Amino acid sequence: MNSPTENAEGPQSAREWFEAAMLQPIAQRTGFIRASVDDAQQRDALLALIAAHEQSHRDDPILERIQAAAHSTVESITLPERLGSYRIAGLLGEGGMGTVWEGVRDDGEFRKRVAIKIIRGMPSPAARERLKRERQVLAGLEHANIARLYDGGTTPQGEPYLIMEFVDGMSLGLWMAQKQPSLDARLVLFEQLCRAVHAAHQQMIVHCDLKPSNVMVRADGSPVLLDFGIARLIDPAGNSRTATLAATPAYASPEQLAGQPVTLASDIFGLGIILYELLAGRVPDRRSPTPSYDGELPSPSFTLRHTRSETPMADIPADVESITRCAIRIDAVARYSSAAALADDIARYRAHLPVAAAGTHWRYVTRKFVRRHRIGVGIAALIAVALVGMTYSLFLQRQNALSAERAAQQQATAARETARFLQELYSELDPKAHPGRSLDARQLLDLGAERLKKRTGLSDEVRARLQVSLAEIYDNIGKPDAALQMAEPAYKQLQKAQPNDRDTLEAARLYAIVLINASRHADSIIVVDQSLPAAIALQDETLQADLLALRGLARQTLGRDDAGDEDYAKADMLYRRAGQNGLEGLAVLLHRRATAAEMRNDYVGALELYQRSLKQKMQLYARDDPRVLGTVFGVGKTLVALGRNVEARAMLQDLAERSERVHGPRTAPVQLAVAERAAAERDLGDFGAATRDLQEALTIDRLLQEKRDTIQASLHTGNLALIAEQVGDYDHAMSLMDESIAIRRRILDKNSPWIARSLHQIARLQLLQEKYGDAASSVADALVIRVAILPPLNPERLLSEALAIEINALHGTPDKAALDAVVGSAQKVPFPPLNLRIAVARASEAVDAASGRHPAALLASEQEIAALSARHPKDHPMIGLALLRRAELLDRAGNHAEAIAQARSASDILLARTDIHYSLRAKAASVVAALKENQAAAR
Amino acid sequence: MTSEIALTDALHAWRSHSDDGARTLLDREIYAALKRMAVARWSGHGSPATFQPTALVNEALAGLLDRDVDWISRSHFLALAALQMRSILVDHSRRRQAEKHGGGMLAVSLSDSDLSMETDSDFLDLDAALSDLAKEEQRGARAIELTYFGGLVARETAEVLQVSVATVENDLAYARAWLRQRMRA
Repeated sequence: MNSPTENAEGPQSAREWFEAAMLQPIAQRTGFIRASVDDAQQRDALLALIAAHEQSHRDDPILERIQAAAHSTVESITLPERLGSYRIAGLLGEGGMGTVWEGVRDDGEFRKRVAIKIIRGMPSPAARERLKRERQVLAGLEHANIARLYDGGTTPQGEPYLIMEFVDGMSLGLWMAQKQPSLDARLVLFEQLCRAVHAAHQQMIVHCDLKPSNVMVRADGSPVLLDFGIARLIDPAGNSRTATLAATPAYASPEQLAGQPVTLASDIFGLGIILYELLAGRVPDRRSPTPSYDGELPSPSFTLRHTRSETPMADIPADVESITRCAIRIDAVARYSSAAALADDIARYRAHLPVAAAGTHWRYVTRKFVRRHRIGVGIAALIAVALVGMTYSLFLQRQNALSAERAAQQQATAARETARFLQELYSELDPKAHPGRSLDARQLLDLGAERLKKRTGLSDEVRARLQVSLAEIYDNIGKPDAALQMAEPAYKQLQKAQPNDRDTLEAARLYAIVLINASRHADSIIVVDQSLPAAIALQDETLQADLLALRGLARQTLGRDDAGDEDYAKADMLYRRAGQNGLEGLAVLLHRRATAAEMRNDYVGALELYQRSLKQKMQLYARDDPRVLGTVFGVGKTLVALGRNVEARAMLQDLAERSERVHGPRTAPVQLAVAERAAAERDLGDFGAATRDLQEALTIDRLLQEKRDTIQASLHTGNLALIAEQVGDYDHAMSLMDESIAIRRRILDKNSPWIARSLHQIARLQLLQEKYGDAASSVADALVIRVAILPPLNPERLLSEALAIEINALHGTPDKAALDAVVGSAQKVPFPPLNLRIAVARASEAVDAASGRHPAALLASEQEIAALSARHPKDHPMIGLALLRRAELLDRAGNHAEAIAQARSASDILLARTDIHYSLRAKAASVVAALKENQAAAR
Repeated sequence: MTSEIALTDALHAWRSHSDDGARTLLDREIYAALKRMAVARWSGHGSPATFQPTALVNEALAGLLDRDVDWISRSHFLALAALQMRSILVDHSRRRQAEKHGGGMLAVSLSDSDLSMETDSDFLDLDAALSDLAKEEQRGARAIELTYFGGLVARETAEVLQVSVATVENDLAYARAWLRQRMRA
């Protein structure tokens, strides 16, 4: 008990008496103690206490002593004047591990500067021993880009210190801020760092704490890594579970943060973080969840876009982005396998070669290939690669057909002719022969093609082979016409000379592909028909399957679905029989079959095929391979068609990000993914996101197509119109529709199905605006085209027929016979799409209601709402509109109470989900009011 | 160096469920920060500047803790820092004494040595007195530590000790008088 207030007996302890005295006026305190305290010893102690208390306002001995101790502490922690043979010349810096001092050794004329790092904390004798041992290992690490560790010891105070190379330079951050180095300069520096780390790794020395502040840049621009292995050295645990505490959390690898063993991969991560800072001007924010839901860190360009940094790049190339992301993968196994591999990829990027991090799709490879050869000389390599490959295959494949001797002779002749042709082509690049001229890859390719045409003295066979090679290159760079010019004569020549040769068949395959790419599907079928018997005779199943798959594609495109399916089925079987060799072909085939199913509106079948293709491709290629991404897109768009919008949205979101990584931001694949994601968002009722995505897709299209009219642009505009329609901004929707159809009219035939589609959409919009005459004429225009080009059971044609019937019923005469015909046809459609079910239900509803068949109309309305609910969430405006119509039907059927209830929920949806200017908002309210009146009247 | 966010989190973990690991992390980081900051006062070539321990603790607070933490958390942080500040001073005074007595390796002039010897023993006396006071007036001793080493004001000390401001003032008055009287003896 030391609180006096709780003691009823009066003060007892010194503390209690002291407080009692304090309650007295100052002058009376001593008197109070003298008078009240009986015990002489306690009394004297209390008087001393009170005297000490009175003194406190003048000076405070407690404060003085603490102050003096603080002063001498500063003096003592600072410093030894000398450490080992070095004089301490100043403080260089301080960090988490301790302080760094500049040391100088004056050795006669020789003056040596070092950095001395004093590590904070007192190590145990065992730790000190280990430190000494490991220090010796680190002292053996010599590399131009790694600061040397010379020596070490223990200060008189018992703190360990390390003597290291003094690096005269600036920190990486300062270097970036001051020099504003170009991307290339940054990458050159970074590649050196990677090589240095790799050199250390080869000696099994891990840095453990790689971060931008551990990089210095010398005056000559060369980087130096500081503190190699130091984090590990000073970690108390001292085994492979290491450096968790010593490393810096903002830069530490996920496994370090999780306290898991540190491996070489942790340093790869650290390098990735340094590259990240070199690009984005700052390190990724580890605290906020990553925007890509794959759990990886945000990409450098994301950070660049979303934060303000001082020394960023204007733009980060997609490849460099891919490289960075590959280095900082959360999963250590997914990162580069070594620092050298990372360095190599940087080198490849700088040489315009494809980088490993980006996958190896042919289009991508070719783009890189051509870019690398922008300077003329390189094109020789392009053609040489193609031709050397060809002569080699010549040698191998000839042996089957001809005697060895003849083969050797022919091969030698072919090689000689090829070499001569190449030599001439090379001479075009000789600056002495053609001063002032420099050719780019495309020009030299064209020149090669030209020369090949005119060149005499070449055997027909060699010429044909050279043409096949050039055709393949042209096809790969997206020039089907030029490819055709090469492939056509080559195929004809080979077909004539040696119809059953494997080379001829491969030329046939290429020719068929080129023909399809040039939209000459019928010719492509002929080529396959000519070549198939030879392929069967050769017993090459993969080749047969390839040819069949191509014919299937051509047949499908020409509308010969059944024959196409038959080809596909045979190709499927042959690929399977070919085992490992057939896997790639099978994956492509499954994708094509999925596309065919999609064309038939068989989305369930298409989804299954896309998913099977995806499964195959995932086994064959990397996750971000363009071929994988293409099929992911297929899965995404079929999910949208099936109304599985939540899944679709997530998948397309992921796809857009991956496409951005692989193909670069604002590229065609990104455009497709973003536009399709918009469809899912629209159907989910997220109109803001859908609008933003479509605008982005439009922007990409304008960038890529240089603002030319494209079908893509008109599609995006049409989809924006659809959103405006659904949120009830009909005027805006109409002006967007006008824009969309105007584009189509400029670039397409006036009877194109695309124009019919626009007309149909315009008719629907006019109906919503209650412009019945206009709507009837627009849908009639759409039908003229659709009836002319589409078969009777085509869903799009039936859609327009149903709309025409609906318009007539609402404003004219209900045509029951026509309705029955459409309903009957719709039932025969093998895969009726959701929108057909909706359109037919609405037509029935309108006809039945106009004819006074209220129960039937209500049944149709129920079917319409069911179909809508399969695609949309229940508060989507489309459902609101359907409910409003249903309310009116119920009212007319005499069910007033239910009518009011339905109108109210419709009104709630429309108020919450649609544009403020939406005319139907007011209408919904007035319908509710009118229905109430009807109810009152009925009573 | 641990980030300020991590320290703020650790502070909360320690306060809300007495997490020992968090406490260890806090102590280690605070000790290191205070020492680093003391070192940074050394100008390199000239003479060392003096420093106010309480000012240093407050600087450490600004450097280590998230700006947005509430004053209650700040008070608890300062309380921890006060403890670390005291141990830094004690560690160094003890070590210097040991060096002086056990054949110090540093070349220091005699007069310097004498001066600092006295300073060290004075401070160690104060430290011992504070420890003795804690045996009979634990809360008063703690109030002194918070006030003199941590720079906490009465309201903050009251929060840390979970008593009223008036009680803190009483505790301080008594403890101060007790210590002075003891040191004068």
